[in-house]
Formats: sequence, structure tokens, C-alpha cells
Amino acid sequence: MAQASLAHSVPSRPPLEVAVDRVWRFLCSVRAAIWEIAFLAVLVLVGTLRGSSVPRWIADHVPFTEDLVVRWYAWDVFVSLPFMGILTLLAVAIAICTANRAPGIWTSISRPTVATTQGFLRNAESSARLTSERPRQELAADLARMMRAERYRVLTEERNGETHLYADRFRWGKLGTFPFHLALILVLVGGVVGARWGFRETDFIVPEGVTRELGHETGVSIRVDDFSEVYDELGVAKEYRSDLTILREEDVVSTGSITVNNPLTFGDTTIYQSGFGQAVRLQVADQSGALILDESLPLGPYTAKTNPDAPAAVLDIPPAGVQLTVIAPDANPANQPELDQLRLRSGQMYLQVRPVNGSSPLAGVEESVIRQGETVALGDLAVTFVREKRFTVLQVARNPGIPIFIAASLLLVGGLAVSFYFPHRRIRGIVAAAPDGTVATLAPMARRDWSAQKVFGQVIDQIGQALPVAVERTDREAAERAEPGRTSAQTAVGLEPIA
Amino acid sequence: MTMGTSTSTPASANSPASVPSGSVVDPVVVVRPVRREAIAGLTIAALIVAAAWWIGGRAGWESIGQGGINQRLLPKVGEPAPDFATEDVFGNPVRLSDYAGQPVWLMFWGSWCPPCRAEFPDIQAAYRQVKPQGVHLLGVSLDEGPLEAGAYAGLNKAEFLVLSDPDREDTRAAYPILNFPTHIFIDGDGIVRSIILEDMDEEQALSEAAKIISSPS
Amino acid sequence: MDALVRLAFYCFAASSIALAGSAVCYLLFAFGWVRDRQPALAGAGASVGGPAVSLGIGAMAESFGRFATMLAWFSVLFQGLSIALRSVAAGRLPLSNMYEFSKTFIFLIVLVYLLFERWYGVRQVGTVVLPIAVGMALYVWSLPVSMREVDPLIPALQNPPLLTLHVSLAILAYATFAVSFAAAVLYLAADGRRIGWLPSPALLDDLAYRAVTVGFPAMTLVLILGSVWAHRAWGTYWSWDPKETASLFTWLIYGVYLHSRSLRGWRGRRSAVVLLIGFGAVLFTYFGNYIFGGLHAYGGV
Repeated sequence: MAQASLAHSVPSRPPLEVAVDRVWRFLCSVRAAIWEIAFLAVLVLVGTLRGSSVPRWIADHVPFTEDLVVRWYAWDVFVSLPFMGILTLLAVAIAICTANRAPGIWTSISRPTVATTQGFLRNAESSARLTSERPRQELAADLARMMRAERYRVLTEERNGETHLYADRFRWGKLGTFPFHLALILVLVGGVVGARWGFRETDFIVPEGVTRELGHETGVSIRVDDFSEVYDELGVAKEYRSDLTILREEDVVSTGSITVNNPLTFGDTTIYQSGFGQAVRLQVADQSGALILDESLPLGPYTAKTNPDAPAAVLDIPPAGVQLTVIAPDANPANQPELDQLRLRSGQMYLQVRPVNGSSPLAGVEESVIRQGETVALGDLAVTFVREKRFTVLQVARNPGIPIFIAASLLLVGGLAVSFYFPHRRIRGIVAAAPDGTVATLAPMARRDWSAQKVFGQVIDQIGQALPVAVERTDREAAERAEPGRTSAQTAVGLEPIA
Repeated sequence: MTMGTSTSTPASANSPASVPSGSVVDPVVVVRPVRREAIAGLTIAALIVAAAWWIGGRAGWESIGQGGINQRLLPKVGEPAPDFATEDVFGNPVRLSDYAGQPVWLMFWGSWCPPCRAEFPDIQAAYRQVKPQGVHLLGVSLDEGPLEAGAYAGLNKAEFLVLSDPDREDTRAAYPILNFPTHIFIDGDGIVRSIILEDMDEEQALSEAAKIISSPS
Repeated sequence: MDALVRLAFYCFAASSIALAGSAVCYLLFAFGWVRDRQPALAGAGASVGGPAVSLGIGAMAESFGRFATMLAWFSVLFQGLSIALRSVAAGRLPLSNMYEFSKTFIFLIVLVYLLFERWYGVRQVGTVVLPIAVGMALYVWSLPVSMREVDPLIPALQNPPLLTLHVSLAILAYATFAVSFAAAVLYLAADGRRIGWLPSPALLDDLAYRAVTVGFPAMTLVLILGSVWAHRAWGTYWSWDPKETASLFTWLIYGVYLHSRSLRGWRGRRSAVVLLIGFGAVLFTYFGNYIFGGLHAYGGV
């Protein structure tokens, strides 16, 4: 009955408004934020373990999980809908939360409430009573002066013959949360900008001496003049280096050597050293003897069935209407020699041409094993194995999101530093006349905040030393825990006195 | 709010006589036998060092520090090149000291090693140019039989002497090679002038070889 | 140079001895206080003979405590010396594999703890921290003997300023998280019960929080500097590499912790539980190299 009458007394609101209000409050809620972050963390953990042997281990030890583990390995968490969803939700929550909290925080900083109650001071976990024979206004002024000397902002207000006092320090420390949280949104924005307006070519393979067009509307080509892998005498790699020339049409735009930690940037595009491998230079001539192909083919990205471990390449030669396959000897004895049907020796290459369309004059597949420097006839083509070379794997990227990340990084670190190292310290107090003089009661707004209470204690100590007042401190929680014979003040600095 | 003289506080246990009653004691100012603790501390520190030393002596830590970056596998530039004796691919004995007084370009390689194969034509081309100036190129093939090495060298028309040390028995002591190819340039006085631990092109090979040709004999 | 590497190892051995001694003293210290406090709390003056006994154990516990602190400082000193000598021998800070950064981890964990001990004036947290440090030391001793040598840097690591900053900040973060973990363990023991020898829960909660206020920004910087480095060496600032995402996981857990502290009903016990999970995440990230493939798969394991 009581509930029904209560519901009647409140004017009913449209359901949409109620729903919007609910959603708004959900997005503002710290409790919801905790669960959102925790959910994100769980997804990140699932994605992390996917890159490890842990799911495999689980499947091996818990039989019925096999299907689940297979799906686990197949699920790319970091591009999945739930992951994107939770990120979006968090970004929206941060934006709403900021909009919601900013006015209140700003008010508490710029126009804090000065007046307090004896009840608050009495119930504070730690507080101090200062008694003095001096008049009220004088003591209040002295206290304000002392706290200002400690770099506090002090506001006072006269109320019912008492002086209410509010002192705070590092009030802008409360603002640190805003740059930090906005920077998190910026990180996401940077990611979107980079993905939408940038590009990244991860396996840009160029053999030595070859020029390759970069594409991506850059209008430039990259020529690899030389690739070197330098080792020290212990066999540890010292440097992987590619000597590059960037060309626009025939003009040299830029030249330089890149190593793993030293990429080359031209304009807004950057080239990174990423990998390397072996290549083979072949020349192919047609019936008339005209060269239709003179190219270094990178071996390795492709492998053939006849020897799955061996580096191989495949290339279409459209003028001849054939596809050329090259397989190199398998250099690694740790591979599976039983799968090797070719048994090539060093300095040999296996070549195969097969017709790719009806226009090819070739009747069927032609194959041959060729040695370095030799020329072999395959169908009506003459193929020469000129020599072996090296190829380099470059990574080419342009990321317009980088400046956004830099800004976000500065905001992240700055925001954290401000919130953590400049915590807002607040002290409230009432100075009131007493029978034999004046009593000032002060307490920090520091519920369950040991450091803030300690700082308050230091301020009171300063005041006690400088002003002719009698100081009496209470430390409720410490007193509760204190054992017989132990003072509360002593407990406040900890059980163990260490000089 | 009295301190009293309770027996259970550690502060009073340290200095039972100095506790004034009736006032709040700042635990930080409690006097402590500083000198005694300093002596005890120094003694303990000395004991720890002695213990570490004693254990180290028994556990054989004397050899620590000679591995890693301090390991010496190859002679340094400016030092004499150690001698070795092995055979060429036809089984004829060859010593490094056979070439005493002449510049030697010592190459460790294997036809199984892709970078060695990639540089092979450049090496041969460079050798052809420095041969008239008295440079001997000794290509020591490791970890493969003389047949493989000889076949590959012949295929590529190598004009230099190809040596073979299949299981490294002959060269391991003097030249423990961990990197292929390894090029060591030794001048007429038997002094190492350059060590190259990467595959070279013709130009680089020529400039390295020049270091042993032009050096005064 | 080889003599420096050897001397560095001897210093590490000395540091390990001091560390073990310190951990034993911290445990004796704790044990002494537990023995001392129990009858005093239960009896509350009922037994007349009690105080004399408790004086003996209490004083002993106290001096064990002082020795524990002293030995911990010795271990920091020797470890610092060991790291300095190895740095000179290597020409860089020793931060390139599990052996090297585990040594730095032990150094920072004990140093960070000792600074907190001085700042808060409580020694009980060391009872949990020092055994963690001893565990790390045992791990280092169990590593292959060849890792005691200084190895050259592989190309991906050849960026001295970023290597130093990125890795040392990660270790600083892990060390502070270890201290906050220890405080959280004691908090959970102290909260709701009256265990006389433990510091107040408010102090432990505050200590744990202070440690995180160092560790969380450090971890944030680790992620940022890691991205800067990845951008330079790998061509992409973030590649969802397992080590990266494990660090992100750790960072998120401490994000949960920081939010939980501002929430009634979460601050206190639940926050402390989050800190336990957080340190689990730290260990997962730290030892993840053993189970991850990916771009961070160096580190000599």
C-alpha cells in the first residue's frame, strides 16, 4: 500500500525518458565500469592465451575440451565483435562519465562548501582539538595563516558566532582523471585513423638488384641495391641491412640503409627491415632468342609438394602462356628428408613449366634439374639459372594516427602523474568560543586514507609548534586497534618504530 | 593518553630507562645502540662476502666471464693468424704456413649455405682480379664432404684452391667457425688485417683484399 | 672485462646470501611477534606471568626485524654492485634476457619494499615480499649456467635508450606490484580479525595503493614506450603480440583496482583481492615467454 501511494505521488515519466535515464546512469556508473574493464581484461587474456600453448595443454589434459580449444585457436579475439563492442562501450562510458562528472568536480574545486558540522568533525577518523586562550577571530586568522604557509588555500565563513574553515591543496589534482580518460578515447581514435587513412604492407619482398613499385598511390618504387646479414664470430646476428633507393619515375627520391631499429622515412611513408631469404636469378628466352624474363625470384614464400621444406617460387610468364616453378635444395638437415622427392644438391635448381591457358604452345608439363650457369630448354623456352641472390623482406607503412598517439601518450602520463602525485588534500574545521578561550576542531576529509591522515597530522604538528595552542589529537581507528599501554599517536605511525 | 612503562612495546624494550611517562613518545627519537649495530653489520657484510668467496671457490666460478662477448674464437685484427693443416678436395695436404710471406684470403664456407652460394660468383670475380697481385684465396669448406664442395666449386668455375674439412677436425682448434661465410684476410707477415662475417659483393671483396696487398711487407 | 663479469657474479652470490638471511629474519620477526601477541590478546592481563615471557620474545623479534632490514639493504647493495659491474662489462644495462632482468627484478623489488618500509615505518610487509624475492633468486640460480655470461644484443634489441627505459620501467612496475601484493595479503589477513602484530588495515590499504600509484604509471609508460619501440623496429606500434596483450591484461587489472578503490563495498577486501589477481597477471606476463611465441620470443628462455 505504501509503495502504491508513493508511486502515485511521483508524476509518472514517459518510458523513453526512464530508459534514457537508466542507460545514462549505467554508463556513468563506476561499478559498471569495473565490470566492463574486467570483461575487456578477460577477452584480452583469452586472446593472449591463444598465442600460447596453454589451450593445447588444456585440450591434452581435459579430453572433452578438444572442440572448444580448436575454436579458441580459430577465434581472433582482437578483431571480434565482442571485443570491438566492449571497447566502444567503454569509450562511450568514458565520454558520458566525463560529461556527467565535470560540472560537479569543477564546482567542488572553484566554489567548495566551507560550512561544516560538529558531527562531521566528531565522526572523522582522525581529528585535532586546538585550545587557546586567544579570541576566536585571532585564532582563526592564525590557523588560516599557518595553513596558507603550508600552501593550502583557506576559505572561511562566519556562522552562528563560529568560524567555519575549509583548507585544500592540489585542488586541480582532481582534474587529472579527465586528460587520462580522454587519452584512452584518443588511442582508439588513433587506431581508427591509422586503419582508415594509412596502409601497411607487411611482406614487401624485393630481391637484390630489383626495383618494385610500392603502390598505395605513392607513385614511387623501391630498389634494393644490397642486402647483408652481418654476424659476429659467436654466430649471433649483429645486423640485417638493406641498402635502398627510392625512385619516382627515374628520379632518385631518397637513398639510405635500413636496419632493424633504423627505418627509412620519405614523406609520410616509412620502410622497415623485416626479414630476408634466398633468391634465384633466372633468364628466360623465347624461340627467337629474345629475353622475355630476367628476374630474381624470392624463394621461400611458396613451397611445393615435391619437397615441402625446400624454398620454392612460382611465377606466371604471360607472354609464353606458362607458369614457372622453381625449387631450391633443402639446406636444413633438421627438415624431413623423407618428404624430399627431388634430392637436389647444392648449386642445383628444379625447374618446371606448365601451360596455364589454351593459347600455350606447350603440350604438357616440362621439367628439368639445372645447375648454376647452365641453360636448359623447357618446351620452346630457354631458361638460364644465372646465379643465386638474397632477397629482403621490407615492411612499408604510413600511419597518420601517430600524432594522435603521441598526444594521447602525453595526456595519459600527465593525467596519471597529476592524479597520483598531487592528491587533493582537504581539511575542514570550526573555530568556536569556549568557556576559557577558544577551541578549534579540525579534521581532514580522508576517510580510510592513511596518507591523507598522516599529512593532516604533519600540518597539525606544524601548527602546534608555531602557535601557543594545546593540541589534542584523536585517531579513532588507531585507538580501536591500540593495545594497552600504546598511545594512539604511536599507532598512527605504525606498530614498528624504525628510525 | 599515557605512554606508561608497558613492557610490551618494542621502544621500551630498547631503552627501558629513557621513557618519560605521561607524554606522547615519538618512536623515532628512541636511542639505539648505534655503534654496536654498525659493528655487527660490518661483521655480517664481511661474512657474506667470505661465504660467497668460499662457495665460489668450491663451485668453480673462476671460469665465469670467459664466455659470451668475452669469448675469443677468432684472432683479432692485428694479431697473427694461427696455422692449420688440412686437405684440398683431391686429398692433397695443405698448410696455411705453406703460404708464409704471401697474402692469404681465407674463406670458410659450405655449398649448403645459401649466403655462401649467393656470394660465390662475386668472390670468384674478385679473386680473378687480385690473383695477379699475389693473393691466395683458400676456400675451406666445412660440414660437407670434399665431393660436394668440389662439385659446387667446379660448377661455378672456381679458380681458387678449395679445401675440405668435413667434420672440422683439422680447423676447429685454430678457427672455430660459427658463422658462414667467414672471410679472414691475412697479410704477407701472417697478421690478420680484416675479418668479414657477412656475404660480400665483388666491390666489398676487392676493398678488403686491398688491405693485404697494400700493407708493407 | 671477464674479471668484471666474474666479480659481478660473486656480488650476485653475496646478494643472494644476504637475501636468504633477510627472508629468514623477516619470518623469525613475524613468528616472534605472533607468539608474543597471541597470549596478550587472549588474556588481556589475565596472566601475571605473561609480560616477562612476552618481553623476551618481543625483544628478540624486534632485533630479528632490525637484522632483517639490514640484510635486505645488504642484498640491495650487493645486487646493485653486481648490476653495475655487469653493465660496465657489457657496455649497457643488463636487461636483455631472463637472467639479466630477473636480477634487476630482485634488486628493485627489495629496494622498492625497503623504501616503503622506511616511509611507513612498518616491517611486517617484508615477511611476504622477501620470500617473493628469494623465489626470484632461486629462479635465477636455476637458469642455465651459460646465461651468467654477457651475450651480444640481437638486432631487434639494439636500441640502448629504449631497451633501458622500456625494460627497467617494466621491472619497476612489477616490483611495486609485488609490494602491493604483499600489502594486500596482509590486509586480507588483518581485515575483520584482530591480529595484533599486523599494521592497521588502513595503513596496508594505503601502502598497497601508493605502490600502485608508482606501478600503474610505470606500466602505462612501458606500454607507451613499447609502442614507440615497436613502431621503430617492427613498423607497427601495436601488433597484438602475446607479451603486449599480457601487459595490457595486467594494466587493465590494475585499472579495475584503481576504480574499485573509489567504490563503497569494493574498497578494502575486494580491492585487495583484485591486487592478488593483478600480481598473478604480473607473473603471467613475466614468465609468459615460456609459453608464448611471437615477437617477444627472445629473452633467452
